[in-house]
Amino acid sequence: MTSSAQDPFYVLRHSRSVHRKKAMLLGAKTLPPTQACRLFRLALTDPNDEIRLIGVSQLKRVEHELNTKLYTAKSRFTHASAAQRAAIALTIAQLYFDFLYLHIADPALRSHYLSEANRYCAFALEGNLPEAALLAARIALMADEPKTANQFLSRIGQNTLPLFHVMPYLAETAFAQGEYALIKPSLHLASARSRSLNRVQRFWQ
Amino acid sequence: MTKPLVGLLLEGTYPFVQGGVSSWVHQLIRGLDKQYNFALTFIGSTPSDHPKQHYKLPENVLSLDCFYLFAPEADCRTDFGTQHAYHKKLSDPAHWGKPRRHRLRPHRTQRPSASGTRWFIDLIHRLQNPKTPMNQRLLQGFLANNGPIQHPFYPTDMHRYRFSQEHALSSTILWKLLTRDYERFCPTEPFNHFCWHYRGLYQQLFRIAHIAQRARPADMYHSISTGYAGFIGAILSAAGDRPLIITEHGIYTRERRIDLNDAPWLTSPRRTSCVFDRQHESVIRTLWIRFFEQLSHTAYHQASHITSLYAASRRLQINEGAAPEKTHVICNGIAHERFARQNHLVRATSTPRVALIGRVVSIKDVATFIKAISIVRLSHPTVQAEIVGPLDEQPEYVEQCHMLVDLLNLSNHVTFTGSQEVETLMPTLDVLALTSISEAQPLVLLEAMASGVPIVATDVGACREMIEGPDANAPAPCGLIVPIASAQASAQAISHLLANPALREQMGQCGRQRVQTHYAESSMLSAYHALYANARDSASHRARDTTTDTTRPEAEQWRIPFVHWGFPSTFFGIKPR
Repeated sequence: MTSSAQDPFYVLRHSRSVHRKKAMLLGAKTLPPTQACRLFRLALTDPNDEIRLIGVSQLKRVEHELNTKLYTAKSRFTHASAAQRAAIALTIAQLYFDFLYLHIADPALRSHYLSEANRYCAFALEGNLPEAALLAARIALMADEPKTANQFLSRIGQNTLPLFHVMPYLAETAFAQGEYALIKPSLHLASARSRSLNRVQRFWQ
Repeated sequence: MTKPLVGLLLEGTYPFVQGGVSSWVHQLIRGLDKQYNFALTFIGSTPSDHPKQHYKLPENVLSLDCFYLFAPEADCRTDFGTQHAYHKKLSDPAHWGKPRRHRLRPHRTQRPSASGTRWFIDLIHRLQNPKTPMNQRLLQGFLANNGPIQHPFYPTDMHRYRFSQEHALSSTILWKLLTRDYERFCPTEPFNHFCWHYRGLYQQLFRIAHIAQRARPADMYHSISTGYAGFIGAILSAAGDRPLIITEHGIYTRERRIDLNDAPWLTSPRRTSCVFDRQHESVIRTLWIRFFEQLSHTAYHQASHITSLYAASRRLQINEGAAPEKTHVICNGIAHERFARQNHLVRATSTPRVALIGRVVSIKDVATFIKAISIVRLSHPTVQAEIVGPLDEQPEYVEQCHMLVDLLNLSNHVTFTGSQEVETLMPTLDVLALTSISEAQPLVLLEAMASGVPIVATDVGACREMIEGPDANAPAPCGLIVPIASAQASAQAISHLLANPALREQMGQCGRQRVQTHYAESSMLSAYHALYANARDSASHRARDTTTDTTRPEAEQWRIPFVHWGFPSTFFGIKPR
């Protein structure tokens, strides 16, 4: 278990050393994007303006990377054949979703990103891609529509995607709908393959 | 009567870069044309970074010398042309864009003298301790360390301090320091990476020496930043016993710290997933930060007057090591009558118009403005936004902004117009937005205020002071302040102003009054005239250097115990392993 002195979030919230915070934030570039972006967002609230500027510049970097990928994928989409379109649409929908998932999108622009993600996901669903149904479910969950998410998850066939990919989202839809009895079996299947879910599973046992 | 010659030291700005600082320099030179002549020394990175001269040099500019710190070395010596010849050349538009460019090249010299070696050791010592600025003797050594050169400030006895770049970079002293620090602080880092950073840092010092040797003598020096320009000013001031004035728009050391935080060339080639396992990067970064801190401290120490644009900036200068009694605040000013004359222009349409005026570069955070417009569009579907400013400084950032406009489907709402005549543009605007993440005292805000245009600006530099007034008793604000990088807050402020014509009118009036009262061009120019006159007359300048005791024997002054070669254990802010 990480000691508080080694926990980047703890350091950013409580350390008095600007030098240590800076070193940590600069090192955070190598962390997985979800964690790194949370740290950078937290840095925006720091009283020191150098720390805030590092947070801003790092978030801009992530945003730029996503924008570039999105722009490239969209230009490929317009010139793609019908057969390729579903796969490219899935990439575009995933990128729009990432803007929301990483909290890069401004709150006022969330609905724009959500509707674009839905639009391209609908293209991808026409190609019968199982990943598209999973993404559609995640988008529906983000839009606070667990019933729709459940419908998409149930469309994923038995042998199309590994169960441990689908189960955590089934558990999440069950929780959102208040069907707590369904959470435990879903998590049981999921946690067998994912250690990060072990603690959640123990809570629901 | 001959006008005094002011040596203006310009780092990465006028006349090759458009923007606030360059406009300010142009304004200063033109405004003082009756009282002073100017010799410009431009210090840039490479000629390709500054290909175009954007300003016609006024008549009172007698010379323009360009130096490039990172240009490839070539055999191109310089000579000191007569000022008259340069004046003729520069007043001819055919010669614009053809300033005299100097190439920097190390010269082979004789073996280093014992005094020269001691000079280098003292230099190393000062770089490790940036809080102790370099003294006059040490600065004079910069004019001597690449062999004798015909310079009016060249002290007659300085030939004894010869020490060249070649000697320094291949010296046993530097090698011992380098290997010891490598083993102590970065043993897991590739040696090459550390070694080239270390050598590069010392190489810069010798390049600075070359520039100082070739800089044109003047009656006084005025550097528009600390850093390289300020340090060269300090060398020339110390060697020629001339006054040095420093004006900082942004605080140089602070800006370098921010740049170095994100510098890709500092990133280690070694990959690691642990955020705390990157101390070696911070060691190299700290080396560079301390280098810039020493340059600034020395410039502050040598300067007779240090000016800034607003009170908070002055406080930062004092925190960075400037003596409080030397610091002054001289606000930017504009000729507000120019803008008042255009106020009769009538709006052609009722479409809401918002503009961001400035260079399209990342520090202006144009992306946030574009996102803000996409939110404003929801409440004002006909809104038209213009991004007015040069597009050639960061082409990759311009491309990013175009991409964002496409992704947010804003092609019908956002236009990149390039540079435009601000006086005629201002009266056609409903709101001026400034989303910068760093600013000093932006001229564009003063121009908007003089034109009666309400402002939405981020809480950076002097923006709050300009918009809300310098004191608590100031009348109503002339705009709204928003946090940095918040498209939503910027959009809310813009929408609020667009929806309230009466508020816009009231803020516009308030802006006009404030600019007339606090930010008049005549006040700024007379303050600098007084400062120049004071610096020339100041007798205290000659007795400034208190760290050099001239009564001590020369050999004793240079005696630096070799035990001080290495860094103290707390150097770099980390404990040795």
